[in-house]
Amino acid sequence: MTLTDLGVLYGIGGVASAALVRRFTGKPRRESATSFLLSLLLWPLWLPIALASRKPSSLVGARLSSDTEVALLEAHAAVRGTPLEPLLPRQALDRILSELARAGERHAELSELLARRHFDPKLAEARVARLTRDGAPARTLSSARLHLDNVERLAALRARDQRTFEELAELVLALRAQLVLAKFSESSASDVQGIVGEVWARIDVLGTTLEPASAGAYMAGPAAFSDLAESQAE
Amino acid sequence: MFQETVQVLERLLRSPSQIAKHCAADEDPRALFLASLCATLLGAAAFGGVLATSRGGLQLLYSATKVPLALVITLVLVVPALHGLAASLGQPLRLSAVVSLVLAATGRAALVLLALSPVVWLALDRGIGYHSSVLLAAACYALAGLSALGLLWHGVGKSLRGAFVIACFGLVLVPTGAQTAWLLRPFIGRPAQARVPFLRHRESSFADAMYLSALSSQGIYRAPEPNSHPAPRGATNLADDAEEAP
Repeated sequence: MTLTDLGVLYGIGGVASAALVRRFTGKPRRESATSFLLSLLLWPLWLPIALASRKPSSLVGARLSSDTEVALLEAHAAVRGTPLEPLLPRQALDRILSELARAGERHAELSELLARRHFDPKLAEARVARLTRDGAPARTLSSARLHLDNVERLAALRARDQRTFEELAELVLALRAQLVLAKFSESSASDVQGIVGEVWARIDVLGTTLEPASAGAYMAGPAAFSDLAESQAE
Repeated sequence: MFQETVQVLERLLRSPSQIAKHCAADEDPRALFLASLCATLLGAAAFGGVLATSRGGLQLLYSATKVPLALVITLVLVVPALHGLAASLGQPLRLSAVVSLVLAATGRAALVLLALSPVVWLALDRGIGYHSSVLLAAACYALAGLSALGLLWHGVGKSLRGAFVIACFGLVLVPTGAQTAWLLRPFIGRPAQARVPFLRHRESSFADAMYLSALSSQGIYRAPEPNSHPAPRGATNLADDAEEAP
């Protein structure tokens, strides 16, 4: 194999890497040019870096927020300029959208954080178990348990937000349909008011943090959390 | 971005342990990668340029291009080896962490070369001989290499096992780097040479050249042993062509 053959193979590898990096990373244009050049020329070094630094592709919360936002805008458009507009006025819509955007960002940040190895609840739990088994000093064990508690709370917060996003998405779809129906059938707005109230309740949940007791219930399972949530609501 | 790069460069020199932790942590490695690459290219280019000051002319440009090139080619070749060695010897690291670590270590070495450039320049300006300048350059590479190894050791794990991984990696890195640089000679350029070539013909190996160059610096000139790579036409003494490698 000559130097030219090696060069050709390296070039093919560079083109394939550039395509791969472009496929898997969505970057602003300026950064994309740098990434493209590095993928082409220094692909054995840049490829692992570019792929390691890409954002998690399945930010479900963000996607759901986006669908929900579209549905909310359509719901508002359906009642704008009609007697039903006070049910979903522009100011309320703006506030809901702003709360959704903020909660979506928090959810994305949490998801990214919890994707890291150091924030894996199972690893943290295994570490506590190992330290207990090895008879580690009390202070070390206490720090490990504290880490486990914190990681579990973060995981519970993400799970709760995820569930709230899903519920909110369904509620907003129902609200949109109900408003359109009320507009065309001139039916009562009482059902709509109920759904709007539910939407606000979910928005409020997204803006709150999680109490340790709730976190423990979440880690125990959704059923246990539902029981706890019901008892708190009562 | 610029400020971040400068901060990384400062940390490369002052806090190798922090840089090693950054590489091992699951953080965005792009800033460190770009800063280390800049340090490698600029530091090595400056040192290459200084090496060629005794010859001057086109050799300045050639050396400033070839020293960084030799480092980058070596990195491309040896990174998978460190990843494999670390994994098989019980110190597994992610591939992106290995790339960041090796590139950061190279960037640190290049910064050390940059710091040593004025000393080499002064020595060349004082008129030290060609062969002595080759040995001086080799000593600078060794010093820079030691600083890089320190960072690597922090990254792989500062333990006996980590040292073993680094030692095994050295067995891959040193011959690969030396032979890569040997293929890209000349870096200093002989003052008596009328024409400055970008690359020389393939001949012998780095180890033979260092041995003969050391003898030549003491005034002992020997003809090269016959080998599998015939010398190009007009080449009579391998020691005259021998040069250092980054």
